[in-house]
Amino acid sequence: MKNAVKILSVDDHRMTAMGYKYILEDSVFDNFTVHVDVATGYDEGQERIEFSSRSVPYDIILLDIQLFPPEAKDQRTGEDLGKLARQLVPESSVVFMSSFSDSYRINSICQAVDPEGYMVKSEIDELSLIEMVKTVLIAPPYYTHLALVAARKNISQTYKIDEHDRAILYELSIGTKTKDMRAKVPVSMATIDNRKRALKLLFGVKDKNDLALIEEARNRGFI
Amino acid sequence: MWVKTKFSVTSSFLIAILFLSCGKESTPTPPQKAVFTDSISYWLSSKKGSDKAVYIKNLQKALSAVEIEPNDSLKARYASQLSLKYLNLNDSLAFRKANKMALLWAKKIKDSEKMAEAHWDAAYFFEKRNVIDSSYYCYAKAHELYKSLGNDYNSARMLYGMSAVLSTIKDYTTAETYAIQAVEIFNSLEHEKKFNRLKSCYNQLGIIANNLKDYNKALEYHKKALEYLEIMDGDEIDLARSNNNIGAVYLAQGNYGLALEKFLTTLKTDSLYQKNTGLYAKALSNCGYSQFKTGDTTNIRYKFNRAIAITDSIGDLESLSRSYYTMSEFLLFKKDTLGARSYAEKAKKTAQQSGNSLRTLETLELLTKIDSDNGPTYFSEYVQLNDSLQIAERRSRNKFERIRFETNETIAENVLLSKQNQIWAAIAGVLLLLGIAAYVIIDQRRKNEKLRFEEEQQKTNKQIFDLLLSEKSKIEEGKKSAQKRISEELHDAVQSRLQGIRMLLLGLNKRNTPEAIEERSEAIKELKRVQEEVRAISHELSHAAYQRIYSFISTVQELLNLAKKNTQLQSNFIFDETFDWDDLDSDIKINVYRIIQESVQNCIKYAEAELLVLTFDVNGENILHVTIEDNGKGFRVKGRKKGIGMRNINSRVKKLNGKWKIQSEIGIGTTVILYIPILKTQNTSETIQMKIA
Repeated sequence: MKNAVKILSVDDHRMTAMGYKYILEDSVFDNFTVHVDVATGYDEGQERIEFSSRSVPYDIILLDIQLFPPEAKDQRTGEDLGKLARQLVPESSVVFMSSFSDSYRINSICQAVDPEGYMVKSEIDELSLIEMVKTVLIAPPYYTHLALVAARKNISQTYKIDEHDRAILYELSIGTKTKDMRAKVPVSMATIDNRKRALKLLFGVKDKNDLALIEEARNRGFI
Repeated sequence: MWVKTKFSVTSSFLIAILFLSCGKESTPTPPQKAVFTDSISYWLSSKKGSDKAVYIKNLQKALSAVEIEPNDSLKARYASQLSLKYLNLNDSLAFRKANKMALLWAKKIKDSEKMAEAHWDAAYFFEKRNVIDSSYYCYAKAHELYKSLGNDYNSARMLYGMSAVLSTIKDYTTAETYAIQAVEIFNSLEHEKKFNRLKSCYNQLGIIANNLKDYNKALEYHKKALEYLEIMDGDEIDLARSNNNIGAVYLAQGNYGLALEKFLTTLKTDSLYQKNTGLYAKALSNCGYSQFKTGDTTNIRYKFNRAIAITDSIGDLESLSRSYYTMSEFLLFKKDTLGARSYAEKAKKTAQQSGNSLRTLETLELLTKIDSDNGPTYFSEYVQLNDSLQIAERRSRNKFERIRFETNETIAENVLLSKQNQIWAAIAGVLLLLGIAAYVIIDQRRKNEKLRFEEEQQKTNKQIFDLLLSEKSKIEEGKKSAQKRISEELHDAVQSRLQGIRMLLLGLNKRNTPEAIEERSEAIKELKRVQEEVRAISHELSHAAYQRIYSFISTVQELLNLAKKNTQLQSNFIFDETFDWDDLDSDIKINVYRIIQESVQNCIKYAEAELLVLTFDVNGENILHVTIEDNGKGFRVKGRKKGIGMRNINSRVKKLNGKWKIQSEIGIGTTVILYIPILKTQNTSETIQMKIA
């Protein structure tokens, strides 16, 4: 009798999760079979994780990061679920399935949760899914290519910039105004300006505008 | 006494000419005036000595001619000459007339010297007639004038005159002061007649000292006078006079022996009787008296009689009275009471006649001695006279005090006037400075105001510029956020869903169960929905792309919206949508915005309008027409003084090289039209592009 690997897939698009379910359940694995539970949305995901913690924890939890529409009040993300899972079911492996491919996000999530895998959605297909399951069960981590690129950038980074700097750079790159950054970065506006200046100096774009800073930061893999 | 010699040369020359012309009857008559003037000087030049009657007649002619002489300075000159001549003639009436005229015309032509001369003549005139107060007054006035003219010699002579006059009224102390002043001045001067004057002064001082009973001083003064006499080699008459005066001092001292000596010396003077009869008589009388007092009564009666006879003949009442007195005294001594009394009465009478009250008192005293029966009567008369004398003396002293005071006052007044003039000049200077200061201040203030006005304009310009910029950035931000939203929408609505569909289809690829088929059809429906989403987003994008939001227009619209929100003013904004409003010069944008802002405020504040129509239109000749029309109260355009609002609009339109006009009808509304030339400057946009590249 083959083992049944229990997988939970959390995504705000039901079709996406169903897709994962069908693909994985139809795939042939050597030593086991796969069963996928689908949770649509954050709350359901939370429920399932909590339930699993009381019963049988999942082997793998696949988490989409964006679980609410961008304009929604609730800004809880897959990251939060990941942290929850770590708390409640530390034996479960967590894999993020995200559309975010920028190095900043990837790195920040990985630092926060330390998942067993990270897949960039555009790179998800049948093969990669199967590969991911195999690797995560036996020898994590599993990163899709873009995630690896981000990780590589992080490894090769000689500059040490702290999380506030990273956050500032990220917000800049998505066009957030300095006055709106305070929500995401808990420092004063003056600090933000100072750090921007310092970063420009660090990256060698001292007298250039913010665009150049973003470009350089992107090149170096911070964002 | 002095004689004018100024015009004698000219007048003799004229006489020569006239003599020639007077004889011939047929000579052509020269202009009437010239003849007139020449005649006067001719008449005035005639000498006294030759024919007195002719002389007097000439003077009369001259006098009447001068009265009608039109030329003021000539009038003054001739009147002055006449005054002197009549003075010498002793014709009181004519003198007074001439003197009055002389003074009047001298005053008119402001000739201080002639005025002084006229006063001098009058002073001498009054002195001779014993009108002491008038004499003193005239001397004082002459003195003042000479002093102001800087003529020290004559001013000193006036002082001498005043001294002489004052001693006549027995104000010896003041007389002495004046005489001393005169001496001081004469001493300091160099004049040919210096010593003469000094002699006279010392003589006078001697007389004064004698009367003040300071006999030693008196002798001193008289000796000094004698000294000067010797220096100037004076004539014998003067010497005689001095001797007589010295003798008088000795007499008063009681030094009868020395007195007699002096008087005898005086009498010995050569032709004294002929040259100065009065002096001779005086000396004779004095001689007799001193001789009498020494106890030598030889020929006394003869001497006294002789003295009396001479004095009577020359009409010197005062001396006569004295002579009578001495005779009476002598007779009393000789125990001739009747004779004594008779002479004493004569003495009293003449004393009264001569107005010599002191002498009268003396005679009364003598009478009481002579006629002891009538003693009390005489005594009471004496007392009465003495009292009235005292009163009169005090009154005259007051009068003279007053004259002195008035003279001083005039001097003080002059000083005050000059001081006042200084003050006026200073005030004028200060006012001028104040005037200049005021002008400078006003000018500066005006400049300041102008600068401030411009500063205000600049400030508002900057505000509007910032407003336009912020509007632009607001619009850009709006665009950006729209783009962001679209991007998010794309990502979320489209991308994720497509992802889902893909995953599902991938998963269902190998399955063929009815559930699978069901799911697949669901996926297909989802695809359709995604397509619609894409179309919608695409429309949004294209709409956003096509929508040209001009930040300038948007700013103006904001302004109107704000008004709409806060007041009852509705507005319509009509503008050409094909025109690139943002391409306008920022100067135009700023100033036009400001003008619109101002007009909107006016609409709300003054016009109380309900509807405002704003039109932007560009015609072919590159003129921007901005029309601001309201349906408010309207106002009178003509009569009004341009308020700050209108001035602002005016200056801004001018800055843009534009024109504007304002029309209004009461009850209907107001329209403001701006005509602004716009030059499309391609260069600026090119330079910007180059900079970006």
